[in-house]
Amino acid sequence: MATSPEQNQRLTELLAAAGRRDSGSMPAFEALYQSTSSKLFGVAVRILRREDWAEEVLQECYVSIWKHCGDYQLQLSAPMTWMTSIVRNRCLDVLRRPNFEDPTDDDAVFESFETDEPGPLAMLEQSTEAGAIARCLSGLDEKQQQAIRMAFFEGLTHIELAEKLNQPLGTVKTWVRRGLMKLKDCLAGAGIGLN
Amino acid sequence: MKYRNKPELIERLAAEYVLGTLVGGARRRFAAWMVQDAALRRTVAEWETRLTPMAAAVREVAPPKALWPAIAAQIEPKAAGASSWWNNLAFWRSFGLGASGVAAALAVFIGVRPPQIIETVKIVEKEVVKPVRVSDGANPWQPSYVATLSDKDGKTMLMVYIGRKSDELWLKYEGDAMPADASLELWGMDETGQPKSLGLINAKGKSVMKLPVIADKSIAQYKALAVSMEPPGGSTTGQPTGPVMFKGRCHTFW
Repeated sequence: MATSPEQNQRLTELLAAAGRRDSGSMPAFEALYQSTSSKLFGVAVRILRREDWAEEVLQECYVSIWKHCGDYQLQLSAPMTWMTSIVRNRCLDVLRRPNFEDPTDDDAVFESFETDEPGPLAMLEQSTEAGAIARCLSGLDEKQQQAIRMAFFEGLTHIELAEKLNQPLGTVKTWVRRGLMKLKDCLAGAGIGLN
Repeated sequence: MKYRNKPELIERLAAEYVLGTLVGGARRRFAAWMVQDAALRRTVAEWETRLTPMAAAVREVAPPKALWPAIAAQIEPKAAGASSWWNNLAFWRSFGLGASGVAAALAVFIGVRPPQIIETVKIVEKEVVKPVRVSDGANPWQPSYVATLSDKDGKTMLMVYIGRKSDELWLKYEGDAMPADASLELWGMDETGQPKSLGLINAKGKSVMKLPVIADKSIAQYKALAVSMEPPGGSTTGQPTGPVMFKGRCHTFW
């Protein structure tokens, strides 16, 4: 997630304070919520395309973050990365539950979402920390890039990607796999992903 | 795990897990594998660090104002200072170490001082029309599940005992009288640590509490019992909302 070292430091401190479970914990957790909820809600709305589900997911995820913030020190990633992953994983679970109704057809939220804003790549470039992933993404084949972005931002599976892109399943799988490995090499060049 | 010695496959699975294209049973198996494999968690964290910055491209959307109060209400009971030792591992650990001592003390209590037990039985029998309601030949009043609940200083505040086939829990309360605007609620905790209400207790001397089913089908599943302070009438959320006053392990004697 695109956060400055100062923001990372602050979020790490808030998580630690919340994890101490003393009188300062709730204020710290509330400050953490205030600093991060708009971004995380944006991620959930983007993937689920339904605000009501996104609210449900966000509530569950913050309760989960609260439960686990005491062990956060043991985690291996930056706080915003850790929290975003919790939200994305939960969204994917919701998208793939058996009775999920695809909101694609009647979705005003999603429509309004993509207008009057710079496109995802342009926004990526605005953030210096996310600049590397944006550069590496744009270095991929267009097809690879498209498949990875659709999987990441829309939570699509290989099968759904194949349908949307009107390509054989095997072709799409190959795009994703090769794209990911190229990204890894490119990001390693930028010093990202090596803990 | 058949993947274990295939680093390239592991790398690919981790990447697709994070991207989200690993689905269904494969995703669940992978997540289960992660729980027990630190190296795999590290590989996944590396992929999260690589891919998650893409989320910077997502427009921020302020969640509804009511969401924070809803989250706070869900977590606050556990945030209150007085109840934090509910989840305090050190407390449980120290209790675990002392548990054999507690068991020994209870064995002494039961074995060497039967008059006290008999006295309790008599008191209960006076209040109960049919003292033996369910029996397979064993005396249902024989205390089979016993718990001593202590406060955080280790002082015994409540004794709880019940026979295997009985649905009546005998309580002996040794704590202070409660103010009129508070009640004490008894909780059973199973292996997952999830509290389940057993009802309100009488904060005075000896009393009997009725369970919906016999002990073998209720108390048997609880590893520990705890008492929290609640508004009059008890918690309305199904979870403890006030501070935990005392708790203790539930011992089986049969």
